[in-house]
Amino acid sequence: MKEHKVVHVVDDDTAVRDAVGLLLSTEGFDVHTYPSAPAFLKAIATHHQGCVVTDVRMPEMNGIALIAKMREERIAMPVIVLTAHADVPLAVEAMKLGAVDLLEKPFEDDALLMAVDAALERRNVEESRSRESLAIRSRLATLTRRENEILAGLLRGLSNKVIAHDLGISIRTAEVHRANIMAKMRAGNLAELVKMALATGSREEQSPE
Amino acid sequence: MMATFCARAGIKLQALPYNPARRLASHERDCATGREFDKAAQSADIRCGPGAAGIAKKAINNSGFPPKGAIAAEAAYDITVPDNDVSKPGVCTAATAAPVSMSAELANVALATPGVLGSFFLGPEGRVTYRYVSPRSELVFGIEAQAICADAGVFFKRLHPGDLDALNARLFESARAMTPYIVEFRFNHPDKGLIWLEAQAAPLADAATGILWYGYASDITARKRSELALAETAAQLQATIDGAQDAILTTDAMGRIKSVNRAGAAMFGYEADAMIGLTIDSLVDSAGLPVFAGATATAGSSGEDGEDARGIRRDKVSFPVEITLTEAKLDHIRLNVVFIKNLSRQRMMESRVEDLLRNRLDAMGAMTATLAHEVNQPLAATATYLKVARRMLEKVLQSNHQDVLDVLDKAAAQIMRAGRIVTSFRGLVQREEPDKTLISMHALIAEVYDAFRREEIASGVYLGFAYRASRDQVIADGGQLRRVLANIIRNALEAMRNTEIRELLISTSNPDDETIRVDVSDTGRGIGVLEDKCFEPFTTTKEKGMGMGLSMSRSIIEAHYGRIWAKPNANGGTAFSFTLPLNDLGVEQ
Repeated sequence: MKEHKVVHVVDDDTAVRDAVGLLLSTEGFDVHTYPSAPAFLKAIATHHQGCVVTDVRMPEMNGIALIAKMREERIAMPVIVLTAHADVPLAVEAMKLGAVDLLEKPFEDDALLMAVDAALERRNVEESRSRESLAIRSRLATLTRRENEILAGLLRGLSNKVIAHDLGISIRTAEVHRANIMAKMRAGNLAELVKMALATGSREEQSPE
Repeated sequence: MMATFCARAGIKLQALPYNPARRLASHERDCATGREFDKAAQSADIRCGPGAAGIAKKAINNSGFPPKGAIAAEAAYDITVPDNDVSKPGVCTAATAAPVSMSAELANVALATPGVLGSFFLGPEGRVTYRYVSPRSELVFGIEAQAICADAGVFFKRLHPGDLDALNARLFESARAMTPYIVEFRFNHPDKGLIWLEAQAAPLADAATGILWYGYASDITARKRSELALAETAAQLQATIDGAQDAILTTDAMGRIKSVNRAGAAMFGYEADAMIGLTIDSLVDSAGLPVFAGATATAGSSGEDGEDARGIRRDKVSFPVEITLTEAKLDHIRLNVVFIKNLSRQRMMESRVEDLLRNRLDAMGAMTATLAHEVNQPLAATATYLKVARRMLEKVLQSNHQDVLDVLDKAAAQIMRAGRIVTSFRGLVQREEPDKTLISMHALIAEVYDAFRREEIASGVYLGFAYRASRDQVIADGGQLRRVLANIIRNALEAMRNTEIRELLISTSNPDDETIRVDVSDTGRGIGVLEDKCFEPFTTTKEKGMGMGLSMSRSIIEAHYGRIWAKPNANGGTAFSFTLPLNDLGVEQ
């Protein structure tokens, strides 16, 4: 049993909350579930322990607002975001605010368990991240100047259309560059690409303030 | 007054193009005895003027009125009395002719002519007095000639009051300028009722009466009736043209406007008159103009299809129009008839329909997003529950129960697949930008085919491939392309459900260096609607279809700079085809 491995699950959907809680407790985590973000914040007011798995779309306070609030209150608990739809602006925002991972529902059980493990073992996370980011950095280094410009646009959540306009190129050219970036970075889709790029430790320079 | 007329007439006689004196002179040359005729006519008293009634009366009474249709009999009858006095001088000296009485000849002419011959002058008080009226008067006017000669009032009182002023004005004008007096007027015939008469008379200076008019009057009712009918037809046509909603213009071969209807003037913001003489290309954006400019016979073939163009108002505001050009030929004059329809309203309606359609799609997008979110929640829960169950079982079951674990894995895999479908469907309806990566078209086809293979082999469908394309790398959103292929294949399979032969052939080719083409052809019952209509949203021939599949497929292919179309197959089914541009290596770096 992983007695001290505390996981807080925040989701307004009873079934998801229950299933996720069940999975994590089956694997020996100390699971606490909350139907809303305020309920969670109230419960952990005194001691900040473990990591958080939160849904995005919730009434009262959504997952992104919760991360922002925790950051504001200096609650230093790693957050994993679960979302029914991971569009790029959302992924970028969540990662910028400090979410350690983002999973799309329905998700693979192993993916969640690995994410939780990683979040709890901060040191290991840092290690694996630095190893991973080394590989990502080496791939990033192969991007051309134009491709870097386009990647920067993508990380700002811009559409191909806007990026193409800003760079004075055709949408089709932007799309070709983007496809090449994906191939070079070995990203299966845009969300993965964003995650990779943000995980290379360049978070400070993209700090919202 | 009379003196004034005469004096003026005297001055003007030489200058007038129509010169009665000169004409008379030529008559004198033809008939050497012209002057004698003049005298003879007077002496013969064929006049019926005042003081000459006796002999004339006798003559006409003797003649009676010529029997209808018996011109020969009339001609045989000599009304000139006494003819022996004038027979010798009144003869045309034609070489072969036997001596003929001029009076007799003229009297016969007067009788045979379908109208009424006569002469008149203006009396002292400006009153018309007839000196001679030919006997046909009784037939044409319904009044005996001598009655008119005795008192012109019997004639004039039957004139339509509405025409009197015009007649007088003309007569005075004729007297003043010594020009021919030509009038048309309505006349109340005692037997026939209202008839139309035309009178023509030439003024001649006359020592005794000032001016003497010699002339001719005839019944023109029939002609007038057809003229009026024609005018009525023309007026109806004009009213039709003016009442039309579209602009109707006529132009000459060079495109200069010759006429325009009221709607045309209003459409372009001109006064109708101001448009005459303008060229058509000052009204219409010449790019959309059907062949106009050339004066050649090939320009503007008749009944040409309406062409879209822009009309230009006088204030330079332009508006969408449809132009139809028809060529009319009047004798040898070419006339272009141009119909211009203002499409502003139609375009507005079209864009409103488009808005409605877009709103419907947007509403559907919003609905789909909500639905996707709501469906993904229970899917996530179910997948997780299955995984948990598997983990629990794994701990307690023996290793020979691997099959149970496999079943749970498969169930979880299907839940994950459902999640992907929901997500990609939402992205599509919400028209998110496709997430394009480098994709092998052949690999993608194989992947989609695999998903169908098992169930289709079971249902007896033969699936064939023909990868003829040597290059198949495209930049595309794999999920979206999979959806297009799956959609086309599913349609094909459904169309073949009840057909005897069930063959599905997927083939690829490179029609040129930059394109890959994919054809999916079936042996089904056909799509049941027009081939290009089936890509419109909400068009379906399926009982439970929403009509979104092909419309979305088209959106996807077009977002990938490709083209999609459908054609009936030679063997009865349908072939769906699409093209996509190949990855352009030139743009890679």
